[in-house]
Amino acid sequence: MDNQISIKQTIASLINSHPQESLAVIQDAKEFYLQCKQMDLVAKQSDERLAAIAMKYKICEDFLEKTFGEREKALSNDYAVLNKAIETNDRELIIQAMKNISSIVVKSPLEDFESFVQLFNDESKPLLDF
Amino acid sequence: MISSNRRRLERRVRDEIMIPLPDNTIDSFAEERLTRTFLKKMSNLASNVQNLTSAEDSLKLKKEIAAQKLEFMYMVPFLASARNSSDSIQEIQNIFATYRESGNINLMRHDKSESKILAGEITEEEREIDGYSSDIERIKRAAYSDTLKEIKGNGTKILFMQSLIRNKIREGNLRDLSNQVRGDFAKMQQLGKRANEILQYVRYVAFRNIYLGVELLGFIRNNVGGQSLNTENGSLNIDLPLESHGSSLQIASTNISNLFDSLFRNFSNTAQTLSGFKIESRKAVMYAAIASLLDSLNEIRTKKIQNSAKRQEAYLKDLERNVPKLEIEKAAFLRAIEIIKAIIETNKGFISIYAPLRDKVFIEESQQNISLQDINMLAQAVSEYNKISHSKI
Repeated sequence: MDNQISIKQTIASLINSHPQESLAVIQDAKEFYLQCKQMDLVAKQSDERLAAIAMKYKICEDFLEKTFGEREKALSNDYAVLNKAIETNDRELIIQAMKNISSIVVKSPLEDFESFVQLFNDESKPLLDF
Repeated sequence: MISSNRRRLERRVRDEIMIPLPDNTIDSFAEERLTRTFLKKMSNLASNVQNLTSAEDSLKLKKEIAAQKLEFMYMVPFLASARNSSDSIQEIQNIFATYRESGNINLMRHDKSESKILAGEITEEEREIDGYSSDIERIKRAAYSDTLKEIKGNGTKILFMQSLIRNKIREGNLRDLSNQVRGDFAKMQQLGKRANEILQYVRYVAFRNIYLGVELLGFIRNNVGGQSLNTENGSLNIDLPLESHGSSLQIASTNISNLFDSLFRNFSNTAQTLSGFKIESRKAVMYAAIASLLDSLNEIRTKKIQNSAKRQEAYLKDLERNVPKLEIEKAAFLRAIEIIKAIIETNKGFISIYAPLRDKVFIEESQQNISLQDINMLAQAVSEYNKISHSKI
């Protein structure tokens, strides 16, 4: 308690003896406080932007994982059939496997992906249009 | 003028010789000269065909015409399709050298992996692509999600300095992550270039093999025809498109096969490096506290805060720009690998159907054993192979 009184007395004495300097210090402290508030606000906004980037990243990763995973699974099966058919010289099965492979591969999954990413980055358009 | 002359020459090859030469194939004076010589030679051979009376001599001459066409295909269109792929050029040169040495045109109708394919062994290309499977898995795995969430820069409470400390940590984290993403994007671009080079090579092989398939179908139709074909059920459609893929591809000019491996290794380190942020954060808090305290007492504090805000904004914009670009690059790489693998596999199917027929026609000369079903199978194999080899990224 005594210490607090002593600090208050010292500050009061400083203000009395150096009024202009004291005002500058108070002004500076006020500016600093406002700057800190401003920094916190900017930080909050950038957190939101980072969250948006993280979300986009996650969605893209999920898209790649899911799309290529499914295609890879189907293609691996067709490749196994094709190799077996080559081994047994089953030409009809070779053609069938080639047709199956072609039915998957000729359609690029990236046509949708690229337009999706572009749309995702264009905040002027609603995502529901996709 | 030069260009229009070359386009006119290409049209002549298409119209007079019935070779579906892609536009802009002839690109040099040497190719121009080769094409003119070829056209002249073909014109002489064609006039000779009409003078021959014996079927045997006629067949022999038609084989000679087919051989001349094939030689021209190797010298101009195949080479043009391989312009930016050192692997393809090397292979063409090797095949050509072997042909020159032996004089056996049938060597140019062989795929270098044919014996392995027919024996059910793994080809070089398959081995290379399979070698990337674990790296592809790593690429697919998320590496930034957690870091992006952790980047807030939570600091310890040191009186009024908390905002400044947080700001300092945030800036450092943003800078590091931005650099990581930028670096990984550059690595992915290089990986993409390598994938493009492999794609260029397998597409050259496809272009050549599809030509060989069409050549064989045409030869059977024109020279064997209905007289010796077995009359099995089924319709015959050998009107197949043939075009090169080469010119539209962007290819790395350097040999970067070693780089390919090291890039994958570096890429896989990303996740570890990023997780290091948490461990480093205590130290960062300490340094940032000291630095921030000093900053706050400094007259240029305001300036520093403003500059920091500008830098953070730049890092954020960098991330917003590069993260989607990285994902697109990654997706393109995965797609390229998918196409490469599909072309390699269907090439195996094509070879297993083409090779026995080719041997009957050009080597054993036992065309009478060819059935309509054989031709139908080959036509379908060529058609599917052609579709797959034209798949777009």
